Amino acid sequence: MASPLALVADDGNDDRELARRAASGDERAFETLYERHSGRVFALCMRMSGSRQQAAELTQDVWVKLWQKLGSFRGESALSSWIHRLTVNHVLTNARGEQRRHMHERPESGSPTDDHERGVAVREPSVSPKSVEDAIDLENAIAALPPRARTVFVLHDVEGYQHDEIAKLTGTAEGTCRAQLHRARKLLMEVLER
Amino acid sequence: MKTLLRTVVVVTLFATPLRAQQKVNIQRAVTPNVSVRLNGALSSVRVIAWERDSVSITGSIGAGSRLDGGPMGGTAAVGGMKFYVEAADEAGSRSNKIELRVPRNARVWIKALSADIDVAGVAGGLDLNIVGGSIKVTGKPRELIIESMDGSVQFNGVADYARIKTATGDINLQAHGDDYSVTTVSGNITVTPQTDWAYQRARFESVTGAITFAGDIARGGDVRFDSHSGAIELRLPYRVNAEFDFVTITGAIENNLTNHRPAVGREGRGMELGVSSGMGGARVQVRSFKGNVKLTPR
Amino acid sequence: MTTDHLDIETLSAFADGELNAVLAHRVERHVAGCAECRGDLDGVRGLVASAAALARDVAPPPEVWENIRARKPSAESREPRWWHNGWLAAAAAVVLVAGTATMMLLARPSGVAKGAKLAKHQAATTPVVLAAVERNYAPTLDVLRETLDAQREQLAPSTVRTLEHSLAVIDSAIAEASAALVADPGSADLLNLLSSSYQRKVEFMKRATSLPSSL
Repeated sequence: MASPLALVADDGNDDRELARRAASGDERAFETLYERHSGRVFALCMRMSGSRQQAAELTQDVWVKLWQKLGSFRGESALSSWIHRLTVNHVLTNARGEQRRHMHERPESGSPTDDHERGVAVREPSVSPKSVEDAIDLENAIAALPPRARTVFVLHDVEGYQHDEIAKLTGTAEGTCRAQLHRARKLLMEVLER
Repeated sequence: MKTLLRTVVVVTLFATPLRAQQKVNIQRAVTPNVSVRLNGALSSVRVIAWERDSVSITGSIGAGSRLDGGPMGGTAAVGGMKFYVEAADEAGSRSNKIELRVPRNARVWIKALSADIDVAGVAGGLDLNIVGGSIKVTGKPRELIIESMDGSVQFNGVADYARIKTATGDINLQAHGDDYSVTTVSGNITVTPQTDWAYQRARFESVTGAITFAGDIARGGDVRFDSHSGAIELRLPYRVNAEFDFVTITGAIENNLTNHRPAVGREGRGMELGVSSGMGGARVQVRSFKGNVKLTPR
Repeated sequence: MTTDHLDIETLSAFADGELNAVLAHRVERHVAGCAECRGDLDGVRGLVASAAALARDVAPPPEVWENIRARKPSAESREPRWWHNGWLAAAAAVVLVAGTATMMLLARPSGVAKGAKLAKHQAATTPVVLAAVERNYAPTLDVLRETLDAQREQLAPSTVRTLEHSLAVIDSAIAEASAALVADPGSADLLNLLSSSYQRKVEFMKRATSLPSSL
């Protein structure tokens, strides 16, 4: 029973209906889905990639993929979860591809898990100056993490994934994920202490 | 957060009242990848990497200045050190000159208002932040982060990852690496070549500053240049293997590298150049509002 | 044996309940008697809380949608979008995109606009696209400006002069790009250039808020 305060239809059903229409080519429905879910996708891409510029490209990729794959959405989970998983998978696959393209010879130094893909995230603040500064600092610190540590931190501490899910998504052992998370938190605390 | 074990260091006061300086001399055993932070009222900082697992801070600070700080944590081999220099006034800070020797794989953070910073040989990581003065780095830091407003920046070496930003300060690079972002508002960016080395992925941006790039681009590399009104000149070898994608809104494009002539912009203003040189492969993109763009052979 | 402090990774594992009973008990005992480690443990918990509180939604720049429209339905490769022959394919889409973007932008506050409104609103496309970009960045810039103004007194006069000078240069670039977009609203290039200029301003102002203060 809808609350008397609910002025719109339940988003869950609405999303499924929009997905069905978009899958049959309804561009207006696709736009509406974009309006609803693009912020989430972009935020996730931005934090996982550490770069706003890359996030824009990744977001485009995800939504083009969505356009192609909406037909395979069965409605068993919420559309937002489905989009979220697709986004995570795409960012991770893309990161693996970038890693291969950027292999080069260089003496090994530092942690063997350090990769070289980083960027600077700029977040759009929406609250008071002090918490803005803190949030901007945290966003930048996250963006500066080594990629694997950043992936685990974003998925676990920001997005709320459990370690077994993260392990499956990233193709690493759960123990490794936990270690990466603790490492990320340590690095963040060091940077934010400045 | 951790509180510091504070160590106030005032070793010797020279007797001359007019120009009293305090000598600084701190030595400490550290881990090979120690983090060292130094900020405050500094006018000159020299950082030199050495082969010892210890940090040495020497130099002198003015009378009325004070150096606080010390190792973080209480274990025998220190993994982090943090120092802060205070001065009574700006004149006081001009007397504060520090020399820091660190293990090669150390990570060094320095933040100062107006200082000349010179770093040589540090391979761990560098994070240098000034308003004015100058920053000069030589060596192969894995990670290089430089922020300056007016201060000029010079980097000779290799960095896997570099983020260099100024407002009006000029940026001179004889360097290369995997992932570079070099940004200025009105400073000039100049990249000179290093034999046998190339940029993998780089972005050079200015608002009004000129960008002159004579570096090399790795096969499969991706290099972008953006300016609002600064002139952009790319000096590349005749046989460079790249795909060029230049667009201006109102600026002119001059191509002296290949036989292709730039076309008038699709929307009837500005110019475009979309050509392939050699075997293609690397991507070179230029976007300019009204700055002129030149592609010349080196 | 250990008067040593606990490293952050151990405290982090403890905070997540990952340590076995023996280790957890040891950590608990140590933390009870050590202010520094207690502070660190609070720090870890604070960090986790801050991360969970980060905004889940961040609006993508307007040109993202434009590029999606231009790329779909055939989206096999990630060829550069401004590539000369790609332009030919996308050129027709750009005009449509500008109109559609307008429709979408107008639709944002109150549901998807009906097709009937499209013709009426196409005449107002010019200021709307520009206004949308400005709206995207205005809240961020307002807050950053407020922060900078509050910090101004702590900065050296020379620093303030440099900041204002550089901001004036950036603002001038924004003004020129905006004027060009008003004259040429269908230009995706101009939209991108304008968004880049705004982004540059945000990044510059963000840097300015973390400058070292004067003594």
